[in-house]
Amino acid sequence: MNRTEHELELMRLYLEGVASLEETQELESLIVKDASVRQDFLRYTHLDSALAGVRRSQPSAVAPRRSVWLSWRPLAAAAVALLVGASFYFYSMRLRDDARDIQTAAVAASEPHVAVVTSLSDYDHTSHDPLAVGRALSAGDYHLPGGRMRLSFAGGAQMIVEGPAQLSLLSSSRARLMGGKAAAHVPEGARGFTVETPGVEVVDLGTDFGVSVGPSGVSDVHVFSGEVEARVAGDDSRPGSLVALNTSEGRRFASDGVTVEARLDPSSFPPPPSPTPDAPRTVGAIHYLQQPPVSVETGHLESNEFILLFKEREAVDLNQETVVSFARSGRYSGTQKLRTKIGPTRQVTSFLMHYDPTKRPTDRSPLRREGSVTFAAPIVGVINRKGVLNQTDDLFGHPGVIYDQGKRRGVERSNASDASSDVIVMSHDLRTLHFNLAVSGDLDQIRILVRATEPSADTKPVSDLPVRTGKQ
Amino acid sequence: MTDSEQQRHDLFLRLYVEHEESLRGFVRSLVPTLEDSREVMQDVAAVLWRKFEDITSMDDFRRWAFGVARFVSMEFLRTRRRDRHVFGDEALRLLAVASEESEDAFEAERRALNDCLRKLTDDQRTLVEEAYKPGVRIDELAARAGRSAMALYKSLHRIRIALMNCTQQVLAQEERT
Repeated sequence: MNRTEHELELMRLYLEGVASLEETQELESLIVKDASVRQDFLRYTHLDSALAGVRRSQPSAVAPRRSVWLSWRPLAAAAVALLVGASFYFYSMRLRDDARDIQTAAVAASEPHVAVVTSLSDYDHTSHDPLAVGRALSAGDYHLPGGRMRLSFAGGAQMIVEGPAQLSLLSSSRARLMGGKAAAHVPEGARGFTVETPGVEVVDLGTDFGVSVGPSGVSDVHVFSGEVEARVAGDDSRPGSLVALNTSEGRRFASDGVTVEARLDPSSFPPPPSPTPDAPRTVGAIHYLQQPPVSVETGHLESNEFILLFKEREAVDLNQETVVSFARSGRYSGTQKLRTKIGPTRQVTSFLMHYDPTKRPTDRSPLRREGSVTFAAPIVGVINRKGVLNQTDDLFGHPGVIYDQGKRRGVERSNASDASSDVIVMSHDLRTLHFNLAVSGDLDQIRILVRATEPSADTKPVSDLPVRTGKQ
Repeated sequence: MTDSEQQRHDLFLRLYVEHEESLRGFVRSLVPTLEDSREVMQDVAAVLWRKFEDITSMDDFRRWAFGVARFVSMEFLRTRRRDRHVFGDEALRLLAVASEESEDAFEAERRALNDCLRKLTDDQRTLVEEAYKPGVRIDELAARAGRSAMALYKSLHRIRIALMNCTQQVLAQEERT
């Protein structure tokens, strides 16, 4: 650096806010006239702000690939995420950029969930397992000892993970696979979904792709259809690189990102998650579970972010009149007292929508979650009242699911105002329900009865086991 | 947050985090005192998010973000011109252009900084850690250490110059190999 002591001293004085008018003008004219002074001045200020960002501790959930010295980077990101979610409550308080404050505030606002488990197979449950069907997961590290798990990300991507696998969820559109196999299906709206491995970062460009990471950190990437971008991060000795892979193409990367010559077997990856043929189509915060959860009791599957939907019972005979809340198209709010009768009618299939938000942080204004679901067949009735839900658990409930027959069930019937209550809209063709639910501490459950697509006594798959119910 | 808001938020975060360090370094060059530059940077982030929906092309994010950072800093400096001497608009503009153009170079320096921090003596490193803690007042730190504030400021200045020389060497060496 060819700066004189005097020039450097001028920079120091200015940046410490103690420069005189003459000193400021001298530095200013140097900066305007001499590009090299300008450059060194910026080097000085970048160094100063980088040093200010140095933190000794780093959050574990979003551990950076970068050095510890620059670990303020994810912290700052977390702060912005928080602020954005909290409507800049944080900024308006004008808190200093203090790591401690940020962490405290992050804890207070409770971590958002980024993905939900929608199916699990060949998996041994233990009592304290975070992995269970319907369980929403926060950013963090997860171990899948064996079997297959399907995840639905808040950003829209679907992923199947095959154990043994070590997976870190980084955000609603980013995961890191440290070992094991995975395949992802990324719908149009979720492009940019990214899977990191030790050697490479696979960025989806609208596609189905598979990724596997071997014990030595070698990563295989295969594109079933569509296109991905494989990004290899540069380091001190080598620039980064970018490889585009198209349908049926694959590539192997060593743990340092170097491409390795290899023939990949597409069948060695788990099959990419595809929508099950008869599954309803969901949009927004609603996520369809391919398997029923063990329990839908209050507090069992809590999440502010995820509204769950699963199939309860197929082809139920409805040979007598049944009370439901509503059965025609229109807009319904929790403030209305709804009651109508349907049937006798053809066979119906029942679905349960479950939304159990965690306690809302007191420093936030009311939040709402929206989503819609479209069924292949017309909806014949919707039940959102506690009493009717309880009465119909035996008939429509899934025999393997524990239901909550407690007081807090059904959609909110707030007396306060329409604005703070839950709203359901049923479309004219009776196939789509749109939900706009308040994020409050109460459990929302809505049972949806849909005309069975192939009405036949033979297709009735579930036994007539009595429905287990939880404590009153 | 709805799904599309979530996506927009994710996209914003990705872009913001990518350029955050550069913006911070740039804002620091415009705003005297570290504490003030931190405060301005918070405003910059707030404005960026608030106006994010107005931008049409993500390719322009960097240019736009530097523009916002300059504007917010200028607003801040306008309120300070009475009690502190600050640069004029032309200098601010030139600094913005140079910051944006040299983003990668400064990123490389930050990377090299890790090696260089290790080369400091224990005393130097402790001083850096203490002095850069948020909210720390140099005069209080000096009193605790039994030194004058001026001496501490100068020590820190010398450490920064040493680190700048070091990063330059590290990068020059990288280029040769």
